[in-house]
Order: sequence, then C-alpha cells, then structure tokens
Amino acid sequence: MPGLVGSQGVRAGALNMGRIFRALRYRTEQAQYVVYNRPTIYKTDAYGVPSGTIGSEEILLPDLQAIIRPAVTADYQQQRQGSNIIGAARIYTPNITTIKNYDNFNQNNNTDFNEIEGWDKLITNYRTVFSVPTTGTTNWTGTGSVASDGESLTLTATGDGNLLYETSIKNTLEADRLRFKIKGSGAVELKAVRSYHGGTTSAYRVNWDNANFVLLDDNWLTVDVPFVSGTTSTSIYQTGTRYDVPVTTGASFDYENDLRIFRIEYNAHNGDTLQVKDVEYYKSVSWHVHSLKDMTDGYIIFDCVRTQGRNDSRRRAYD
Amino acid sequence: MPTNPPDHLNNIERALIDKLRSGTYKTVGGSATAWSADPPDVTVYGQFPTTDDVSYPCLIVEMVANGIETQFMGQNITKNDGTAARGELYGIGFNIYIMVDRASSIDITNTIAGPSNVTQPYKERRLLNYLMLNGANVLMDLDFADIVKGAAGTPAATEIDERHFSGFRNIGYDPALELWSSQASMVVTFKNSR
Repeated sequence: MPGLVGSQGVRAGALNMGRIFRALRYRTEQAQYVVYNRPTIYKTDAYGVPSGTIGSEEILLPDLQAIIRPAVTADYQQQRQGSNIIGAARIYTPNITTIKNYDNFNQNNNTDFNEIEGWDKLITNYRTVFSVPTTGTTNWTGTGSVASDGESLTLTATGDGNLLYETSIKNTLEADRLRFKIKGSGAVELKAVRSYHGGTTSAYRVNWDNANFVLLDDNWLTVDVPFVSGTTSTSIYQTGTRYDVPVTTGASFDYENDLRIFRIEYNAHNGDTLQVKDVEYYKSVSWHVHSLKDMTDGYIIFDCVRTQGRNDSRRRAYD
Repeated sequence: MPTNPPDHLNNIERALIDKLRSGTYKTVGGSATAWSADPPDVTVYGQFPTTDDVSYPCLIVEMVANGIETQFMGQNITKNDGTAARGELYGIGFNIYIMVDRASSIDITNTIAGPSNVTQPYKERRLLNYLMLNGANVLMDLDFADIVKGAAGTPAATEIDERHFSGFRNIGYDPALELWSSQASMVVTFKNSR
C-alpha cells in the first residue's frame, strides 16, 4: 500500500533508505550516486523497425542514489557472438515516489521519464582516474578572478569568457566519462566544456558544445558526459529540461592522450560568479536493467548485467 | 616434397577476411562503400572480438572445420602449372556471422525500392536484412586470384578448386545481449600439394 502507508513517514521496523544510502556512501563505495541513462528511442516505421525520427530523446540523469551489490563485476571469458554477459549485480534504488521527487526525474518537469524499465542503464563510477583539484587555485585561470574555499573553485566573472585548469601531463587513459558539479549566480550561461589531450591547441580537444542555458542560482548542477571515442551527441539535464550536447573532436585529438586543459566556457555579466567542484575523469561501469526483483515503498531492487566493457591493457596495446 | 609446405589454411582465411573488408555495398547516394572504410560502417573481424573492442555492426569470420574432400589415385594431383605433385583436394568450412546491435544505424539511399533517392537510416532487423544480402553478394563475387597467383606477401600459391556459399541461417535476436544476428556458411576447397 505505497500510497496509504508510505505517506505516513518512516515506520518502526521499516527501512530508512535515505539513511542507508548515506551510511553506505560514507563508509563504503557500495552506495553511489549513479547516472540513469535511457538511449534515444526512435519511432518505428510501418514494419516495426526504428526509423530516423526521434520519439523520445536520450535521458541522462545524474545523482540517482543506488546501492550496487555485484555478483560478478567482471567476467573476462569470451563467448561466441563477440558479446557476452560480463557482469551481474543487484542494484537497490529508492522507491519510485522518492525518485520522482528529484527535479530531473519529476514528471512535471520531464515527461519522458516514467519509471526505470528493462534495458535502461545505471552508470556507476568504477574508479576515478583523475580528479581535477578545486581545493586551491593552482593552475586555474579564468576571465575574472578565481578563488577557492577549499572545496569548490569560484570564478568572479568580468563578462563572457572561460574558466580553465591547465596542468602538466595527467594520464586519463582509463577514463570514459567526465563528471563535474557547477553552480552559477546571476545570468551565468553554460556554453561549452572542452578537454585538451596531448596538446593545448584547439586541434587537441574534445568539445561538448551544449545548447546554451542559464544555470539555476545557488543550485549545484551535475554534468556527466561520455568521454569515449565515437561519441557524437549527449545530454545535460537541468530540472528535467534536456539540453542537447553535440560532441566533436579536433583533428589531432586522441582519447588516449594525457590531459592538458579542462575548460568551461560561459556567458556572464560582470560580477556574476561561477563555481565548480568534484571534477573527475572516471572509468564507468554500465549496468543494464534485466529484471525488477522487488518494489516496496522503501526501495526497488533491480537485477542488472553488463554486456560490454573495456579492457585497458588491450586498449593501450592495440590502439 | 617441399621442406616448408604452403600455409594454405592461413592463406585462404586471410584472403577471405581481406575480401570481405574490401567488398563493397551501396550506402549514401547509391555509391559503393567498402565494409571497412575508415571510419567503417561495418567492421570485419578475423576472430571473435573481445568485449572491449567490439564495434557493431560487424562481420566475424570463423573457421569451423577442415579436412580431405577428395583423394585421387596414388594421392597425385596436377597443379595449375601442369606439374604433378602429391596431395589431394582439401576443404575448409567457415562460419560468417553478421551482428547488429540496437545502436547500429547505416544511412542507405534507396533508388530502386520505395521512394526513389530517399536516404533512410537502416536499423535492427532492416539493417540485418540489408547486410545479409550484401554480405552474400560479396561472398558470391569474391575470388582468390591473389593467392592463386602467389601475390607479393603470400608465402606460396594456394590453388583454389571450388567455393560454395551455402546461405544464411540462425537469423534471430538475442534479447539478453540485444543483438540481431545471422550465420552463413562457406566452403572452400583447394589443392593441398604436399
């Protein structure tokens, strides 16, 4: 009786999932914020085959709390078909009412999200490969003044411009996603994110040129985008609204090269502030929902599998 | 008897993979495109790829059998240049898989069927159907002229006698892996001179 009983708060003996998530997240990596992803769904033609007309845009929503209990994290045995199930896990999420209370998952904001279904993906952080430090201002420059409160980096803008972190060579070979949190005040508009590898000119960068949008005041927005060869498009969601992000690379860009510059481009008025934190290049694991085991008013349990993954030694050796 | 007999099985397997890679099919504008142009529309693998570098849609070539096809009186054969040698007709069986995943899409321009000169993305079953017939076309057209002549890079001539393409079967969808796939068989016989 989720509606009747669940609305009366946490009962004695019931699971307080919020508390469990927090406790496990602080003490272990079993509980994480994962990225919920449903690829673009195309309309079908009269013969039942997907056409080129988009019926439902890609959903890519970070910050979903989940507990991941792997049964098999990685299985390297190779089977026929070139693809096989290489991992299995049981994943716990909050109940659907709680999920739908998150801004991005709220159907008032995002009509495409209904519930977590079969073959939806839950992307977890397997290992952070390189974390861009925001605890100080070393190596950070921008169109304005930069300061750090020991956690996040703040740029006080003088106008439109960029905020960048330039480093000596940092290895990001194993990373396949980029995540950061960003917050703006005033009319700060996110324009683009760029990552330079192997060089510091535009030929050496990957460009995420999002549809410009104004960052909500005093609200951390998590941006989580693929950093993997072959990507041509992705999404950024803010309060359920999708902003298209075409992805392009320069002529000399190679995903295997070392990181040189992480850069954010924005439009802003003089005096607006832009804050960034938790910038990380990470290796992800993508869990695909195969079955729904249990759905209570406390939590949902999904059985998930992995069917594709990367083997970094071969990637280094072959490419 | 030569001290180092020709490496016929590898010669034929590699020739088959090369021909599949350079085989062409019609895509945008009806122009011929090699399966494995760069970047490839279709990747041709010489063995089952590992999960880290598999890229769909793909063709996978796998040898599944080989053995004596026909043996002649006295184990004698006549080579193409007219010289006699010891040997027999030897056969190799290949399975060739075509795999399409949910994200696979190739733009195809229809000039014959449907509205003329309309480019549409082909996906899933429709793409598999398209690739099967084009794959069959490549297999039926391919020749082994290069290795028969003993072209540069091949260690010695392999004399092909016959080849049979025996069609696609096991056409289906694997829901656990989200793959549409089919399997074709091919038999090549050659003069195994020893």
